[in-house]
Amino acid sequence: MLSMSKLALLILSLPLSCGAADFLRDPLVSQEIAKLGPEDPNVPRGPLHRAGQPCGACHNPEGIATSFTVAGTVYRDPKAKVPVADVVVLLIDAEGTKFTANTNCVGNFYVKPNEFSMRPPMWTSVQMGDVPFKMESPFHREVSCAVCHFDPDGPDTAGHLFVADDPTTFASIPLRPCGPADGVKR
Amino acid sequence: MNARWWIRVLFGLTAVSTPSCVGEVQVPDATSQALLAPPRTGFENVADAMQPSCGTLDCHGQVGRNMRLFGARGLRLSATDTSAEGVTQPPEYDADYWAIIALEPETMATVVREKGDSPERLTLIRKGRGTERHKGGKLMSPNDNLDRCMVGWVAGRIEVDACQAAAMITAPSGFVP
Repeated sequence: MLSMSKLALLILSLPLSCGAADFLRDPLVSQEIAKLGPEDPNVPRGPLHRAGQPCGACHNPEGIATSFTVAGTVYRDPKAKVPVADVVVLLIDAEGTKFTANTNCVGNFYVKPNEFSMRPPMWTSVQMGDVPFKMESPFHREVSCAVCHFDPDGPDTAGHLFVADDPTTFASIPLRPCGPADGVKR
Repeated sequence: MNARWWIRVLFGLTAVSTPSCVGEVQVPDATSQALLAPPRTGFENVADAMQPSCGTLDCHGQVGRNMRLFGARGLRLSATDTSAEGVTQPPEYDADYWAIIALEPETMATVVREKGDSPERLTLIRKGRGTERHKGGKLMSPNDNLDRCMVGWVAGRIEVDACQAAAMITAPSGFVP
């Protein structure tokens, strides 16, 4: 027979398990998630979905999906949003601890807390080839690159992330189609 | 008795009644110490020091912050500027100055009047030092460059060297892949 406390827990867990916990969520977070819009029906949920969108809206410690430390989408150049695979994203924190992640075929990369838990401020660079492209300023707490890097560039954004700004360099960057490995979750 | 006549009457009544109110309202004047603030002159050094630690786009470089900071690699004041290029402009320094001194004007005035004594009375300092809950964490320690820069400013003396060092915050060695 269930004790009263277990029964209460069971009752409380029902709405959560049914995905009806929106009323418990910070309304600002709910708005942020709503702004993402629906999923692309042609892209399964996972490492390839929602390229260019702010991953941290859902992928945060209080979020509705697996928590990320940092995540984003890297494009080839500052003009066109051409996603680039196999870009090396280097992260280094205030203690000098380093972590690298690689982009997949849609340009997405993500880092989980169990892989790298950073002490801010953090610095980052993206590299494809010999020369790293470094972000000038550090960042402190934002999970999503896309919160500060969105188009068009303006007073509150530096524009989308890119791996090279020299036309000769970025024209030589190889693009590749998605393979089965790109969609595998870590 | 047209509309203009009535307006004149109302203005007249207002003028007569005003003097009786003046004595009850404390209007700051040149001798008032109520709104003392740290110096604007030289504040550019302080703003530049705060920019990489406090004013990035993911922290106080956002319009949702009470302490909203503008800067060349953060939030820009002009609609035609971007976060990716340019240098911090004089109106941005002005906006930063007002944003900071208006956070806790009375406490700021007290700290300034007392030549920077016990600066931790300011939330600005407590949050920066991480002694009060701060989502951005601990960004400075007593007597490090950023702390000396900010505390010096509220004490009325800007330690330019400390400010410049804080502005040049760099990644640990090994950032170059």
